[in-house]
Amino acid sequence: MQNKLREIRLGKELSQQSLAERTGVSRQSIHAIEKGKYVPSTELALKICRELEKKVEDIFTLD
Amino acid sequence: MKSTLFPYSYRYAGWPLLIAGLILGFSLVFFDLSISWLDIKVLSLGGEYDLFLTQTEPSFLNFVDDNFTNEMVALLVLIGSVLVAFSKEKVEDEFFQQLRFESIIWALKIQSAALLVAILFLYNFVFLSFMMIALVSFYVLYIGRYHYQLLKLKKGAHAE
Repeated sequence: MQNKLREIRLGKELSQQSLAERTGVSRQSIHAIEKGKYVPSTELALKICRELEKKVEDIFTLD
Repeated sequence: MKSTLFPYSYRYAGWPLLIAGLILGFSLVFFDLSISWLDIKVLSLGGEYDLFLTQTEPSFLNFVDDNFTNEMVALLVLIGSVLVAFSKEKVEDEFFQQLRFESIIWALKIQSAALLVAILFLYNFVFLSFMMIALVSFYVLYIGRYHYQLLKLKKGAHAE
């Protein structure tokens, strides 16, 4: 799984901390997702997409 | 899902107990530490004889003389480890649950491999000493791996 979370988040001028607070997770989790070290659950992926106003496939893609 | 973990604040009690236990444990294993004021009578639920059949007095449900140093050290490490290992993060989420799971699996693999080597190659008192350490080594391995992974992640996050 690859993701464009970092560039989309920065495009929205959001810090990792503020995205974490909006989605109810820790900053470490957002960082781990951006680094590709953690694949989020469907629920968290959908929350991230809602906050960034994107479709799931705009942010997350299969290898 | 309701979390079965302890509150975050429990780790503040856990870390001092664990560190004190590890320091005393090191002294116990390598310098034969024995604290004299811990010579006390303890309740024994054990069998009729001790491990090496040198004690002929029945010790089942009986009070026996014991130096409580090694038991105290084991209790410090065990209680400290459980409090540290099973307390929540400040913001507990699915990522930490995954990291916990991976760390538990990793610690079990290492523990099992070490046990395998010990069963095959360690005998008598060395084997018994190893087994004493093995009682708490799982927790130490798990805590070490979990926090090392977190530390690596935090370093990466600060570098950005």
